[in-house]
Formats: sequence, structure tokens, C-alpha cells
Amino acid sequence: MRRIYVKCIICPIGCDITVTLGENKVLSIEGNECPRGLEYARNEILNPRRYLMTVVRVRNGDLPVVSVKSSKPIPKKLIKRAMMEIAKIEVKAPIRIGDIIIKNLLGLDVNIIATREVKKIDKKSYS
Amino acid sequence: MVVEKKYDLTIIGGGAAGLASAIRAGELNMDRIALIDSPPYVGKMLGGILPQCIHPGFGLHYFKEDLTGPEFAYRLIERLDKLDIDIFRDTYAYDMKATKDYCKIMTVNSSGITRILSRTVICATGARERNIFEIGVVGSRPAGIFTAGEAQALMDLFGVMPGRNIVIIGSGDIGLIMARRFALEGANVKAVIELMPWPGGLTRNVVQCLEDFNIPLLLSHIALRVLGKNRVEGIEIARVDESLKPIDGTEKIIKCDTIIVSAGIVPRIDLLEKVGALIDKTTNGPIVNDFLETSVPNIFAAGNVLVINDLVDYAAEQGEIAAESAAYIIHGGRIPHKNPIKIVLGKNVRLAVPQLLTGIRDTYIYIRVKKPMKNVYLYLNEIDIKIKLISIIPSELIRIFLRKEEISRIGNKILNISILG
Amino acid sequence: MYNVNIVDKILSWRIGHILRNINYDIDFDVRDRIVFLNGRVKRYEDYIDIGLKIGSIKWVEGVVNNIIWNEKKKLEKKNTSKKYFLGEYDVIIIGAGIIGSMIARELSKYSLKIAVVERNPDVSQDVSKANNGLIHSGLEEKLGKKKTKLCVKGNKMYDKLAEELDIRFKRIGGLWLITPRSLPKIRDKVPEPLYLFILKFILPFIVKLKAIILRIPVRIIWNIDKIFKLNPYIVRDVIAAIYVPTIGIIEPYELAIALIENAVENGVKIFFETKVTGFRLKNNRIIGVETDKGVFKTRFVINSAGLYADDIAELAGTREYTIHPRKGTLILFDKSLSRYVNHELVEIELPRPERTKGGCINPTISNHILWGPTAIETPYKEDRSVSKEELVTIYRKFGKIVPNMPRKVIRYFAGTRPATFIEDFIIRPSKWVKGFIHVAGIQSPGLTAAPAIASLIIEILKKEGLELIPKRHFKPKRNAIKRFSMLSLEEREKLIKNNPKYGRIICFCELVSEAEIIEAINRMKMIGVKTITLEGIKFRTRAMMGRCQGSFCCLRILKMIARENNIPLWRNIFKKKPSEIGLGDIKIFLR
Repeated sequence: MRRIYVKCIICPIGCDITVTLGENKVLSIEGNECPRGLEYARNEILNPRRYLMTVVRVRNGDLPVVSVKSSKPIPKKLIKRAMMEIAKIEVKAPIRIGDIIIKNLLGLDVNIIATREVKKIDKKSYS
Repeated sequence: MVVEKKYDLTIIGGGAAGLASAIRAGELNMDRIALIDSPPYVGKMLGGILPQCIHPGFGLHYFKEDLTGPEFAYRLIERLDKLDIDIFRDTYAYDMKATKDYCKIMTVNSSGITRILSRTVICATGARERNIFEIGVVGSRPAGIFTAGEAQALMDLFGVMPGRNIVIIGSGDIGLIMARRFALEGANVKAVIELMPWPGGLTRNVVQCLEDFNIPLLLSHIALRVLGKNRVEGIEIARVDESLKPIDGTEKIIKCDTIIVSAGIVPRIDLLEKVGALIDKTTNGPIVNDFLETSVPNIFAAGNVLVINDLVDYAAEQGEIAAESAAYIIHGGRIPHKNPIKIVLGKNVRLAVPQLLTGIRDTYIYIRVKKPMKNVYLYLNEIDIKIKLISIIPSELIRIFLRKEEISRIGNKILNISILG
Repeated sequence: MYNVNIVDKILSWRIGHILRNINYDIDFDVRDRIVFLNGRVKRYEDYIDIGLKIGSIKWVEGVVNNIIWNEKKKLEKKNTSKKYFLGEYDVIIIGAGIIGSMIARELSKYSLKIAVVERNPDVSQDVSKANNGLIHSGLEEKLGKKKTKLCVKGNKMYDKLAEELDIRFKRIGGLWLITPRSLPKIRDKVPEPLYLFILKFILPFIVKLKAIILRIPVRIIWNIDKIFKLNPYIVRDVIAAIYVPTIGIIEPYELAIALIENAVENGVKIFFETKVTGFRLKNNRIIGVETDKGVFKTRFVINSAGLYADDIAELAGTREYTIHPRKGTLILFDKSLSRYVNHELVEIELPRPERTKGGCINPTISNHILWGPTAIETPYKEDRSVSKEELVTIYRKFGKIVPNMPRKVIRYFAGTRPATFIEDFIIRPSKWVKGFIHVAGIQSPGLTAAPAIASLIIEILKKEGLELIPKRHFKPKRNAIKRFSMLSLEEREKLIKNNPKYGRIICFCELVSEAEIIEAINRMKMIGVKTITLEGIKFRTRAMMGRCQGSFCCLRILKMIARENNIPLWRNIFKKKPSEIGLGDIKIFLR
């Protein structure tokens, strides 16, 4: 039996929640003031996930990288692998906001979407 | 021959506040509007600092969506393009003078110098970052010292990895976000140093930027000096006592090759200084009334130049209020300047904007506290208003709304704002 | 083989006497008025003290201080010479600081082949960049020292120099204040009315007398109202003031850059990133200079290597002095405070605290304000770190002069002075190697004295047998980069119409345009700079020297350098190698 302390970040109250874990399941969750906190704490312990924001290298663009975000949160333990996958990619300009840069990253049904516009230019000059 | 142009409203700054005020001004049927923008890093790109802020948290109030910085900027720019506004891109306003009838702004770009005569002006020039000297860190001055914004631009605009072993000074949201950026891209963030006994940024960011990556947060620590000949080799830190003075014997050196200075941002008031606007020492920005008018009539301020905003939504909102005030003037309104109500800062209140109230309108008041507290009341003395606040921290600006009727209850031209436990 | 002469004998006797009264066992040797010290002490301060004591003896012309103090000396990596032949020159100047550059330009007036060898990527990167830019009157120097005369002479030469080289120079004058703190030693020993009388009526005349001896114009101001009219922010208990009109200000690296540009225009070649590794001699006469890039053939060497002058002299077998670096810290304040200081402001304090001129408050030619410098002995030539104690010292000392000036600090920095133990300039031919000219120990007032030093070098070279035929086609005038910030409205318009890049402002704080930065890069290439550094651009344009210290413009400038040099952005160098801005592209750790 272990106890893990989680600080809830759903609302400004910031409840300090205590999660007691047994062999393979949650035995109890205490300290939350609302059901959202319960949900959050459970997810943080069992299946923590995060949105991913990073940049992807661009070829022939007015900037050498384009900012991207994941369409859905990704399991925390797969973030590093996701970053390494993304690092392999170089995408060609032009790019519009909303363009899918990587579809179905790591088979997770998560897309990597462009959040910035990139214009195409012919030679390397980032005035 | 210097070109001269006349406008009813000139907005200086194309960041969130400037863009929002331009859009609002366009909607309010003002005829001749100009927007002057000199982008920080990339020529001709509007949006101020937003294009490099690739994380979400923008627009929760304004668009009711959680957008990244560039997406937020894009929404505003899209709306701006539909309006009939003279946009001076990649143009720098280097001087400003106020006369009775108009404000004279000298601007320069690659086409030449343009003298702008404008009946009203909104100064939305934003803020600049504190550098390492302003926080008193001594030692050598090698390469590898960047402000958080510089590092962010290097990485997320120019695709450059600034270093391998990183130490970040300051745990405000910008510093925390940069910690995550470095860690995600595979660099080694060795520590975030924070002077106060509490983190500077939101809990959400402490969890998702530091704890997620096992980055140590050293509270109550001060950065003393930089080591390194040509490139940073380390930074000496020490623990501090309650009066924030370093404790002898606690000094230690963290080896690193890159130091990120995230010690807060300061309003860029150069033009306001030139025109003689009175500056508030607590905000480092101009003193304004509830129309967001500075002490120089017809010159307004909005966004980070007015007060450091942690939410871009507030910066945009201030831009809109300033635009509405400018429109009010253009359409014949008069803003009273005599005998304003002065806001007085009480217990645990570091700053409040606006600093003066005319009393003839509703207004937002933006407040920042000194110390974090839980379960307190924001108390407005003279009108006996108590607002319950569950959790207050210095890095989160509090925003309250006062109606004209409530303000009219103030008798003696003073409004005391304080935090009660 | 050396001559045992009478002076050496007298010096030996004197030195022996002094060293007997010291707690340490120190050996010494005297040769041609150069004293060699050997032994061991426990602390660095003792090493300095003994050296200075010996150096202050009359007729001693140099102290080579080989006393070991308790730390292991870090042996600098020995650079290997390259055999590649770099050319034959009449004169090789080592070091492109103010002195080397001034001498180069002076020599370029004659029909000679001149080369300058500089270890750094650019000019003026060591001693010459970290000082307060004052052109002193000479009044604060000790009577009888070589540097005093050269300072007074050099001061007069600045108007013509500034005009020819198109550099900014202004005679701001100095206000030397007499306050109740001016004579601390007698303050407690005499009754107050007498003390005030001495301060008001005797001290000014003592200063005036020195000024008359040195032929420096000064004016005594007794009227307090007049003093406050000149500067209303001065401390209220001022008693009288000495006004010194000939004091001026420049930006030192601006001068060095202008000198080298003009010298190169007149035929001088400068070799950057080139370290001297040795000398070739024949019959005790210079015939060549060895460097890590190749070998030069020459008959005359000017050793103006600043902090490294003693190492260079050692390589030539003519070590006649030891440099003991003395660090000085300066604090730079915001332009918006310029109304607080329009002259050099000094609080007179006699006797002067040892080893330092005391420092002052002065405006810079760019309207910022400097307080300092301090004076700290440091064993490390490259130690330019600022310490908290030095900042506190500066605030305490100079805060007294303008007590209400807000402390809006932009930057603080330090430099090291190349002090020798005789605390005077060493400008003379080597005693033991023909063709080798020492120009060492040039600390303050080196900047002021520089033009006079260059003239003196010409005289020395003539005496040493170098034929100096004036050039018919010497071009004295050099034009500076046109600065947007300094031009009138019409001039700005014209400039932009001609070159639109003058309209793109890159550094907002100092109003520097893109055209100026591109021109700076071009001028660096023109004088032979191989590595374009950020600092080189900083010093040629003032970009990054304002309030924000480059937090906005630095990246834009890096982009421009990368573009002009065809290198990736992250490979830019800040000051010196290795100090690249970044490590590579952002995904470098993940691929």
C-alpha cells in the first residue's frame, strides 16, 4: 500500500489530494472538494497525460521551425518517444494553421497540428 | 521631404493590446486609424511576442478557447485585415510630443520618415525583460546568458538549441515554461532558482513544467555570480533568509553552460517618458484613469506597458477599453480631469490599475498582491464591498468590476483597496 | 655579461636595506637598473607590497618580480610557432589596443611597411575597452612621472585627432569638489573652524599651484551658488570647487577602431587571432617575430601588448618588468539620468588612497553615466569578474557626490590595468635587445597620453636607426559610419532614400539601423577581421549598449551576421572563441 500526494490544478483552490494505492488499483482518494478533482487525481495516478507543444523543422520557409501542438493529450510516459519521432520530421513550406503535420503519432490517434503560419520562400533569408 | 499623415487614432504597438484596440477602433466607426508596429524579432510579423509563445493558455476569456500564442495572434490579425486601418509594419516610433490639438509621432521605416499627427494615441508598446545586471548578479560576463524571451525566440522562432546544461533564474511562468521547453527538447535543466519562498508562477506550471521532468525548484535561493571565461561554466547560488539576504556558508556552484534570466518584465515607457506622462513607481507603467488615459490628455495606454498582465486576455481587453475611450474623445466626449478619486493601496496590495477614477463610468480594476494567501477578502473600504477570494498569488492579476453607481458612493475622493484575512 | 655601474651599486644597497626589514627572505639582483626579485611569500598582497616598495625607489627602471606566493601558477598553454612566412615588415606592432593602434596610425604616415599582430579577433578587446573614456587633464598625476607629462601633452592633441578620425569627443570639464571629507587625516586633529578655513582657502591654492606647475588651466570656484548652478544635484555640504576645463570624454573602442581603419587605409596590415610565440635574434638584434600563424621578418618590434607585455618581453629575452594586473569595476547608469552629471565629478581626498587615482563620476559621450573604477589587485590577467564588494564600494564612495541620483543600473563591468611595479609608463628601447621597444605599463592616463606616446615612439625609432620618410599621400581623414541616431531629420530622410536599410531600426534603445550594422560587418572584414563577433558590432554601432542590453536586438543582429557570413545562426561568436551562441539546431539532442 502506498500513498501518493497530488496537487489538483483544475481550479484555483488547489486541493491537496491523497491517493492510496493497493496492488493494482486505487483504494481511496481523499482531500478533493469536487468531483473534477477526483477525476483529475485518478488520471494523474493511473494514466497521466499531457498536451504536447513543440516545434517541427521546416524546409523552404520564412522561419526554420513551425510551432505545433498535439490534438489530444498524450500519455506522459510516451512524451519522450513522441519528441524523438517529431525530431525526425522536416516539413515543407507553405504551412497553414491547422495543417496536420503528423497523423496518428505513435499510433495513439493523436495528430500533431501546426499552430503558426509559414510562408514559402526560395532562398534562405530570414530578414 | 518628410511625409506627414493625420489620423484620429494612432496605436503604437502591434501585440495583443495593440491589435485588439485596432480591431475595436475599426468596429467603432473611427475614420482614420493607424497601427505602428516594430516586431521584436522577425521583420513584418505582427503579434508582438505572441508568435513565439507556442504554449496554450491564451484566449480562455477572450475567445472562450484555450489557444497557443500564435493562434491567438492569428485570430486577431485575421480580423484586423478586414478593417480599413493603415498598418505601418516594421516601423519604429522614435519620438512623441503632445501639443494642444494633436500628438506628433515621428516614425521611421525603410521607406523613410513619416510624421504622424494624431488626435488620440494608444501606447501599447509592451514590456521588455529584466537583464542579469538588473537583478544584481555579479561575476564574469561570458556568452550563454539569455533572457527567457531570447531563449524562447532562439528555440521556437529560429530553431536553435542555446545550450546543454541549463540553470534558470526566476520561477515566474515564463521561466517555468522555458524549463519545460528545454527539457522536452532533450537539454538538461539542472535547477530553477527562486528568491522567494513560494514559486512565482501558477501551480499548474510548477507541476507540468518542473515536476513532470524532475527539475529541482530551489526556493529561497539567490543567484550570486556567474562563472566562466568565454562561455558560461557555472553559477554560484546561496540560500537566503527572511529578509532575502544570502546566508553565509550556504554558497554552492551549479555547473552549467547556459543561464536563463527570467526575472520579470518591465513596461517599455520610453515614448511615454518623452511625452512627459507621469509614471507609477509600483507598476513602472503610466498613471491612468478609468478611461486608461495617461496624465497627458488624449494619450492612452493598454497592455503590458500599462501593467504587466499574466493573461493576454486582459491585455486585449485593455486595448479595447482604450479604443473605446479614444472613440469617445473623437466623437466629442470629454474626460474630466479635475478631482479624480485616488486609489490607495492597503494591506498586501502591491499595485492597482487604474490609479485614478473619474467616477463617470464603470471600470475594471486590476490588482496584484504582495504575498500568497488563501481564503481572504478583497476589501474596498469606502464603499464597503467585500469580494471573497479563495487563493491569491502575486503572479496572478486580480480583476474586479466596479459599476458607476458603486463608485458614486465614494465620498472623499479616496478608495482604499486591501486584502483582509 | 653586464656592466656593473654606480647606480646599480647604489640601488643594491638601498634595496638590501629595505628587504632586511621585511619578514620574508627575499633575494634580489640588479642589472642595468632592473631589479630581479626572488623568494617566497605567503600571500599575494605581500608579493605586491614588496614589488611596489622596490619599484618606488628612485632610479629603478623596472621590477621583475619572480617571488612565489602560495598558489600554483597556472601555466598557460604554450602556442606552437608555425613556419609559414607571413612577410617582411619594417616595424611589427604587438597589440591592437589604443596604444598599438595609435602607433600604427602614426607610423602609417611614413613610407614604411607596418604590421600589427593582435591575439584577439578584433581590436581593443582587452585593456582598451574597459575604462571610463576620460581624457584627463593630468592634474591628478604625480609630479615628476613620465606619464604626467605625456598626459598633459596628449590631452591637447585630442581635438585634431577627433576631427581627423571623425570620432565623438567633448570637453566636458571637471568639477573637483572640496567637502568636509577632503582632508581626513587632519580633520580630527584641528578645531573645526580651522579645518574649514584650510579646506576653503588653503587647499584650493595647493591644487592651483600644482596646476600652474603642470601648465593646466583651472579655476577656483568659491561661490556655492555658482557650483549648484553648474550642477544642482551635487552634495549640499560642498565647500569650494576646482573647475578643470580641459577634461574630455570619448568612447575608447570607437577611437581604436577609427585608428586602425585609418591605418589600414594608409597601408598597415593587421593580423588578427595571431599570437606571438617567439622572436628571432641575431647578435642580440631582432630579425624576426614568430607567431602561431607564421613567421615575420623585421628589424623593429613595438611591444604594446598591454597585459601580456611582460610575457612578450620575456619571449624576446628582455624581461625588464612584471605586470601585476589591477582590476577596476565600473557601473553604467541609464541615459534618462543624464541631467545629474554633466562634468567629471570628483570629491577631492588627500592624501590619495594608495594605488588608485580614486575614480570619479562622469557622463559618457553617449549620455550615460559611469561611476568608478575601483582598484583591486588580482593575480589573474584575465580576471574581469565583478564582485559584490566592489559594487558596494562604488555605491558608498560615489553615492556621496550626487546623493539623490536614482540608481538605475544598466550594466556593470570590469577591466584589468596592466600595472608595473614602478607605477609609471615604460616607454624606451630594450636594454638588452636591439630593435625591441617597450611600451608597457600603460594604465591610466594611457588613453589621454596615447597620441603623445605615439609621437614619442617616432622619436625613439628615429634614434634607434629607423629611417622615417614622411609619405606624400598619407590620408589623414577617416569617416565614421553614419549614425541615424546622430543625424538631423533632413539628413535621415536623405540617407534612407539612398539606402532603405537606414530606415530599419534594429536596436531600439540606441536607435541603430540595419545599414549601420551591415556597414560595421563590412568594415570589420575590410580591416581583416576573420571572426565577426557580436562585440565587434556593438563597439562600432552602439547596438546592444542601451537599456535592454540587447535582449531585443541581439538576435536580429545574430541573424544578420549569420546571413552575411553564411553560417548557421547558432555558430555566431559572442566575444572570443569558443563562445558560440548555441549548440546546433533545436532537435540536436533528439536525433
